[in-house]
Formats: sequence, structure tokens, C-alpha cells
Amino acid sequence: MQGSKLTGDCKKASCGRNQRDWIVYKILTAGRLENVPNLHYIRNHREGSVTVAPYMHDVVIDRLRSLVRFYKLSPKSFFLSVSILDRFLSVVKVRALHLMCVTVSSFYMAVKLVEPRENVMSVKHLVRISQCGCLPNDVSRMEKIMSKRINIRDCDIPTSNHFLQLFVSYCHADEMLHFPLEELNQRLYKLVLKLEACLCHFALLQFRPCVLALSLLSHELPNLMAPTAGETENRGLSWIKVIWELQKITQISDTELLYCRAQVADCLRKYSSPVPKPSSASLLGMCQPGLPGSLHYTSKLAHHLPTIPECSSWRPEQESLLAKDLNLAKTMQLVVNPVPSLGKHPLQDATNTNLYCAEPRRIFDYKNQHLEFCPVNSTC
Amino acid sequence: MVDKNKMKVIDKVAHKLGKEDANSLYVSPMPSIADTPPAEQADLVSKKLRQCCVVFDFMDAVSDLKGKEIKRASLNELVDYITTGRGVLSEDLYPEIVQMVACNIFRTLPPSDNPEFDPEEDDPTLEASWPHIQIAYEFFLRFLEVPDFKPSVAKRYIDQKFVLQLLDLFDSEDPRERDFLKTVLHRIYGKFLGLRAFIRKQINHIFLRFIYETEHFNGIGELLEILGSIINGFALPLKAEHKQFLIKVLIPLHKAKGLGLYHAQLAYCVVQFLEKDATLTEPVVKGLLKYWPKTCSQKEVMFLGEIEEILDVIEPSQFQKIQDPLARQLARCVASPHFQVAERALYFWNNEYILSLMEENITVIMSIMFPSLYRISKEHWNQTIIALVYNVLKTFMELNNKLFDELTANYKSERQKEKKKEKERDELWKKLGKLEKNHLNSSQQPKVADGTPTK
Repeated sequence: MQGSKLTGDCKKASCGRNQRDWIVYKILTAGRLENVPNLHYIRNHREGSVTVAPYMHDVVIDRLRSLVRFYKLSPKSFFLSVSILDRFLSVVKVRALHLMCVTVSSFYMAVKLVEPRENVMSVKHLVRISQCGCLPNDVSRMEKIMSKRINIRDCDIPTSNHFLQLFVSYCHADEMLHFPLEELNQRLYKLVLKLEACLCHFALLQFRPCVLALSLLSHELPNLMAPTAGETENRGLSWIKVIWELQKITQISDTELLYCRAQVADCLRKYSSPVPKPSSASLLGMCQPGLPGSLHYTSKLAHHLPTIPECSSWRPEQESLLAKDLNLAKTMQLVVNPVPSLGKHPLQDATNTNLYCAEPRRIFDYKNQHLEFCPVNSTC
Repeated sequence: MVDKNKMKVIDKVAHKLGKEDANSLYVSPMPSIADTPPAEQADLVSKKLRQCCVVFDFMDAVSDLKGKEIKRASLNELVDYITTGRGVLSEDLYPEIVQMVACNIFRTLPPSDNPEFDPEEDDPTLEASWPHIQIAYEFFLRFLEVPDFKPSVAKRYIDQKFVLQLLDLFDSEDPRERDFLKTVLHRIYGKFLGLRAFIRKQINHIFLRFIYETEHFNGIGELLEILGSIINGFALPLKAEHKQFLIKVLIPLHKAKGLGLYHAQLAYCVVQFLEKDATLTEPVVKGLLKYWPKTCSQKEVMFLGEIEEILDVIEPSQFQKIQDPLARQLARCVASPHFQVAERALYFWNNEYILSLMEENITVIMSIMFPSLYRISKEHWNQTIIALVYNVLKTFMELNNKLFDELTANYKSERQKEKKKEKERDELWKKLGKLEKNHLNSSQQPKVADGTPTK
């Protein structure tokens, strides 16, 4: 957890300048090891090509995020799995068809490396939840293939999270973050989650991890600084000073930082905006008219007596067919023509053949067919 | 006239001969209507109607087979006559027709053979006299549907007493009979405007007696079907009487144990009401939440189905009024250990319209539902439910990233606080345990020395 890491760092060295120097040293060593995976072929993806397109990469990273969140794993698993995935993609030109399997394998490898044993899930469970369209054997085989091409155990390659932690400890050493520890931890956690969200944008992957971390920090640092008495005006300057110092240490050019900052601002806007993003294909896959949730069994059952108008007598030939059919049509319409309130995901516009899933499959396949159906239907 | 006197004479004779022979006296073959010249048909029909007033005993399967057959043929003839004939319904026939039908169908229903009759499991006891009664019902229905049927004439004979007896028959165990009754009452309600208020009031009484006194009545479903078509035809604005009916009768009807038998019809009625007047949404939903089943999971699944149908027709402004309590109930259902309940609740996310409603009010809804869903994802025993929960959480994440992350962070810190408290509690107990041991050790020593027990 960031909290313990933070205090851990602080305990390692004595307070004040020594501590700062120690952090600077770590930043410099990390800077030497960092690399940006070469994903040009994804950026230059052309229509109709079988390789991965940028939006597919976004979707897959988003899927990783949701898996990490679902299994309640630490952010380290997320960043490591992204790192493994990107390193593999830079070495092997993966076809779109296999991307999901590669993603799930890198996730599983990262989890095994980073998480304690009780948090590691079974492959079967993972395959089922993630709906990756492959079998547990496929995942194991993919793991072997991947570990041959890249050095998985190379956890030392610093991720943007790594840099973010170091920068935050630098700020803390500079006594800029005055929140009480618990609240500070919560804010830092939210900061890391924002960084995760940033990784879901392919455009940001062209930057070095330290650049990305610094850009994000430059947006969010004011939120981390607790207001202390009498310092409200100086607060504005002090955080800029820290960012500038860090920029010097990591030797990031002005243009690079400003360019990245602009992209990150865009990303954060999308992240916080209440305007809903287009839903992913899997959501639409879930809304199938045949599923019990949308069966209007009441209108089917209780509808063969014609309507009796309140103020006049009912005659067989004047049967209000119109009202009856309108009612039925209205309810059925919701089933057959779903209300298009959610926009379409770009994936839908692409070719409808297999993209990154094995086949467009139903989300839930029950072995026992009768479990699929609403139990009430059989009694009514 | 002459025939009436004849009947009186035969009556007296029958009394002397004993019932069985009297019956066969009555039901002697008459010429068929089709073969009679039109001038005499009306008279013959009248005679046949009176002949069919005789009721046979079907409990004894072998008695009077000839008589039963003759009556059956007559009844069929009458049905044909009334269906195919044009202008055949003279005013004189009305009372005789009503009388004949009344004789045949109005009877005290026998007590149930099986006192623990479970409508869902057991086969119903069928009416023994069905061969005759069925045709009587058929005949009555055709009578009501004749193109030149005159309600103004018929209302002298189809009066409140008739309707009362008809309603009592809805308690019959035979579903075929209830089906006929349903159509008959529907036609009567449709054509006799003067009887409508009375019929509604009597149905009210039946429902209230069912809910609060007996919890036994076989015909609730059929009555609700008729009500469905009545509600469908309500004029706007809705009268206060109808709104009262919804709140005081239809909603409490959800309480009963046997809800499964009539739930589809009941839900249809409720939804029809809401389509007529959207302002009723709040009392209806609050009422359902009040009567939400606490121990019966099958009923809970039905309630969830009904809520979904209500949400399908709800207006966004109305939804905002009930979203808070509804989301809380849904959060409880989703976390239910009964997998059918949890599954049915999670299927709500399959519904596009409900999803769009949630989207508009995502802040409120997600804040309420998130903790249950997030907790269940680790703790539920059923793998299918976990897969569904994953999809729902992913949907939430896509709808509003920032809120989702904030809720995750909050949940995490809450859990840590809880763990800390648990740890403190454990340590307190351990300390107490040590204290107790020390106390026991110290108090034991004097006992060994003196040999006398200390306190």
C-alpha cells in the first residue's frame, strides 16, 4: 500500500536533506532503467489489417483495470501486467484475435508475481470471469510463449506508478503534504487510480513513464496539499517549485512536459465527466431480447380479454383493438428495438467478424439450460 | 299458458312417483328445432328451455343415461339455434333463457375433496356435471353476444342477485368453469352499465375477504383478468374510487401466500394503472417495498419481475422519487444468498431502459449499490452470480470512472477501519483472557495452603 511504502521510505533515511537525496538517487537509477515499448505498428494500424488497433489496446487495458478492481488486487498488479503486455507487444506482432488471451495471460503472470498466495485466483475462475474466449490451457500455453520472448521476472523496469510513488515521497520529504496519514493515503490511492485510467489512452503511451507520472502529479499536487494556516498564497508557488525541481532531476524537456500535460488534462476531463462514454460491446451483448429480464410475461398472459371503455358499453365489433395492440407493441418495442440511449462503441463499427474475442458469445452459458429461464415463468 | 298448467300437473305427479321417474317424465324426446317449421320454432324453443331446467345427478355415473343424453342434445340444439338464427330472440325468451341458465349453473359448490389442496401441485377436482354445465355456459355466452341482444330487456332478469350468484361460482375448483365465468362476467360488465358499480364493489369485497379473512378463493386470477380489461378502459383523469382500489386492494393482494397463482394478472393490472396515471408510481412502489417478502424467495423473484415491468413504463421524473428506497432494496436482493433472487436482480442490468435510468441518476444509485456488489464479488458462493456481478461492476465503471474509483477508495478505507476495530477487539479479549488466568492462578494458591475454598 502506498501508505506503508511512504512511511517506509521515510524511515529508511534520516529526515530532511538526506532523505531527499536518497529519493533523488532512486529516481535517477530508475530513470536509467526505464524504456518505452515500441508500439509503432499499433499506432500505424491500417483498416483491414489483422494486427491490433489503438482502440483495441485501450479496451484491453480497461479490461485489465476492471479485473484488478474486481479481484481487489493492489495497483502494482495492474501496472506490472500492463508492462508485461506492452513489452510482449513490442516484441511480437500480435494478431487482434489473440490479444485478449495475451492480456489475460499477462494479468495472471503479474498476479502470481506480485500478490500473496491467497489472492491468486484459479485460471478457470479467471477465464470465466474475464470472458476472454479461451480455455485455461490456452492461457498456460500463452504464458510459456510469453516467458520465452521476454524476461517476466524483470520487475525492476520502472512503471509510471513507480515514478509517481518516488515523486510523492519527494514531496513528502519536502514537507508539502500535510494531511493526516489516513486521509493522505486515501488521496494517494485515488491518485494512483487516476494514473491507471490514464494508461487506458494509447496516446499517452508514447511518453516515458516518468513524464507521464510528472504530468499527472502537476495536475493533482494542489489536491494533495492540505491547507495550513497563513500559507494560502504561497501554496500556489511552492508546488510549481517542486514540479520544476523534479523536472530538472529527471531531465524532462519543457516541450515534452507541456505536451504530455495537455494530453493528461484531456484524459482527466474524460475521466471526471458525467457525460457517459459509449458502452462497450460486451454490455450490448448482455442485452439480448431473449433473456428473461425483458420478457413481458404479464402482457402475454393477461391480454386476451378486450378492453371495456369506462363510459360506454362494450360491443364485440367495436373492440378496441387499437388500444390492445398499442400496449402490446409498446412493451414489445422495448425488447426488439432497444432505446439507443447509449452510443455505439467503435468496436461495433469495425468488421463484425472476430476481433479480439474468440466469437461474439453470450455472456452466460449455463450447462443446465433451465437455469437460464426465469423460474416464475414455469409456474405462471 | 297451457304448458304452465301442464307443468303444475306433472309436478304433482312427480311428487308421488319419486324423483327419478319424474326426471325421465320430463326429459322426453321432442322434435328437433331444425325440423320444425319457423312458425312453431319459438314455441318449441320455449319448451326445450324449460325441459333443460331439469338438473341431473352426475355423481351417480350410470343413472338416467338416456335423460342426460336427451338434455345434452337439446342444449346443443339450442346453442345452434341461437347462433345461426336471425332475429330469433323475442322478448318472451329472455326470462326463460336466464331461468334455464340459472337452474343449471347456480348451485352450492361442493366442499373440497382435498382439504390441503395445493393449486400448484395437485390436479383440481373437476366438476362432475361438466357435460351439461359446459353447454349451458356456451349457450349463455352466445346469448349475450347475439347481435340484437337488448340489454334494456335483459336487465330485468340479469340483475344484482344474478350477478352475486355468478360471482360466488368463481370459487369453483374447475378451471374450465372459471374460464367461462370470466368471459361471461366480462360480457355482462361490458353491456350492462347499470351493474358496473355493483360488480366492482362485489369484486372488492371478494378480494378484501380473501386478503384479510380466508386467504382462500380460486377465482382471483380470473377476476383480475377482467379487471385488467376494465382498467385498460378507464377514462382520464382517473376517478378517486379507482385510485383507492389500487392502493387499498390491489397492493395488499401482494401479501397473500398464494401469490404465484395470480401474480401475472395482478402485475398487469398494476402496470396498467401506472400507464394511465404516472403519479401513482410513488405510492405503488412504496407499497410494494412495504410488502416485500422477507422469507419467501419465490415471491421475492416475482416481486422483482413486477418491479422490472414497472420500471419499464416509469417516467424519469417519477423514477427519481423512488430511486433511493428502490436502490436499497435492490442492493439487498443482489446480495441475497438465494441465487435465484440475486440472479433476477442482476438481470435488471440487461434492460436498456433501466440502464438509461440508472445512467441519469448514477451518483445516487451507484453510491447505494456499490458496497453490496463489491462485497459480494468476493463472498458469494455461486459462480454464476459472481460472473454477473463482474459485468455489472464493469458497467458501473464505464458509466462513471471517477465515482467508481472514489467509491472503491472509500470502501477500502472502511474495510481497513473495520479490520482495525476487529483487531482491537481481539486483543481486548486476549487481554481479558490473560487477566482471568492470572486471577485464577493467584486465587488458587491460598486454596492449596489452607485447604479451605476461597470465594
